[in-house]
Amino acid sequence: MDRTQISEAVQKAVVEAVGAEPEEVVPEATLLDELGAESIDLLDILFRLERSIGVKIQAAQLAEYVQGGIPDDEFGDENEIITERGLAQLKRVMPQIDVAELSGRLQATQVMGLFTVDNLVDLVVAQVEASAATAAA
Amino acid sequence: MTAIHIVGTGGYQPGDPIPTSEIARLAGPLPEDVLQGLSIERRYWMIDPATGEHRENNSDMAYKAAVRALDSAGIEPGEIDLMILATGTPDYPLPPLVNFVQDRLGLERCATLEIRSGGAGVVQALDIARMYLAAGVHTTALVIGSEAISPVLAPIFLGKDPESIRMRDRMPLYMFGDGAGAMVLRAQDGPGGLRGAASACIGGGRKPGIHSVGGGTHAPIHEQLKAKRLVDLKVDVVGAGDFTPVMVTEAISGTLARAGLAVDTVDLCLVPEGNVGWMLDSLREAGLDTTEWKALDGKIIDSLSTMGAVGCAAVPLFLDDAWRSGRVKPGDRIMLVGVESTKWIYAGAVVDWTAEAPA
Repeated sequence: MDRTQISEAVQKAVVEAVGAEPEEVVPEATLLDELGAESIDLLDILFRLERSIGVKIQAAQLAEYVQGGIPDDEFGDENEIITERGLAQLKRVMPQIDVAELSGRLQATQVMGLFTVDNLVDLVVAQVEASAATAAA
Repeated sequence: MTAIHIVGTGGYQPGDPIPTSEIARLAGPLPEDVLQGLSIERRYWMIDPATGEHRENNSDMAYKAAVRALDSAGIEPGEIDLMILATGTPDYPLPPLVNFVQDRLGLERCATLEIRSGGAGVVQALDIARMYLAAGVHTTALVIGSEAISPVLAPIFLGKDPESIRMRDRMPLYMFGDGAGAMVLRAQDGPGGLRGAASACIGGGRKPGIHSVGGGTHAPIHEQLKAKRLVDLKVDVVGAGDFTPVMVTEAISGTLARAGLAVDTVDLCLVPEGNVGWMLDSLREAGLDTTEWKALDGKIIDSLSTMGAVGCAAVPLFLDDAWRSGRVKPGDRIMLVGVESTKWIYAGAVVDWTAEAPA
């Protein structure tokens, strides 16, 4: 399965789960802030992907993927502002973000709001590749 | 000593049980872990799932439950001088549903009340009836809880491709059903009967867990008519999952305190959703599996898995199920807990059971 096929599957899942128009679900649209998805809709998107392309991603995995295994107290400071180390990790999974702009002001609760349709495609691609590697091994 | 006793109960659910596999066929599947969390195997709908036509209505169900309760108590309808009904889904905004049941029972005159507090309402009704009977104002009360949720569910799936239905809309179809339950109360001599009761709304300032929108007066009717569905049942599954356990534990401790009873004197505790997976997980995660909750382990009565989530009907319907199956027996001390996740209302009552189950 190539990235184009995965992108199509993600777009279809988001359109159905969020109840959005296909033209709204563009790669750069953020799932929560712009498309209005709530946690139950994220669960819906992941379940649709599991059924359409057989990739199982748990809702909890989504947050883990974004945080990249950095412990909570190193990801955010005592005021729940994302640290420089946290921002560097976020840049890896959400390359569109402007780290300089967000530095010292991004709150932990705002992080998932930056997650786009394309970021989800990246996660699914990574998951598909990981499954393929496991199967090959 | 005169006390207020529950002398009979009745329950009614419409049509044949609808298994979860049928809901999946109508509205699309849910993830296995979500299904397990909901813990509902079957439910009953007053609508025909194929057409959405109503096969009966809320007042029919309430009447049938009432007749069964009166039969079990050996009491004639003419002896009832107080009727209190709780529902969130009446046939009409007005007249009150309770008066249609009154019509059907052939009572030209009767004191009647209708309560709109969702799942907590019928337990509130029980306490109001207790006070009237204890004060000698009335002698025989009929308390009914009834709910007709399937009519609101029909537009979600009728004529739709099941795959296109959003999970947030799909989930209520798995959860909700219809039904009615009734209890007959009487002042009579002898030990036992209703003890204390407690009720509170603990959701002041908190967002509703469930919001039934449409058909009210919150917005101009011409604006409401533009909505995709005339009545929309918005269920905040995540919010409800987090706060319902708080409400249930507070209901239990509040009711025990008002009744002046220790938890270890309670033989059985009826809590709709009290035995389901998500509730138990959430209680543990939130550290709410309190000493009192643990003391009730193995004593919870909950027919949710076989009767569905039935709002106002749950407490009397599940009680009737437990009484007729022999789980509730004379001499048992039972706590009845009704909770409502729209605006977070609880009501609890304790009763020392005296009625022999019908043969």
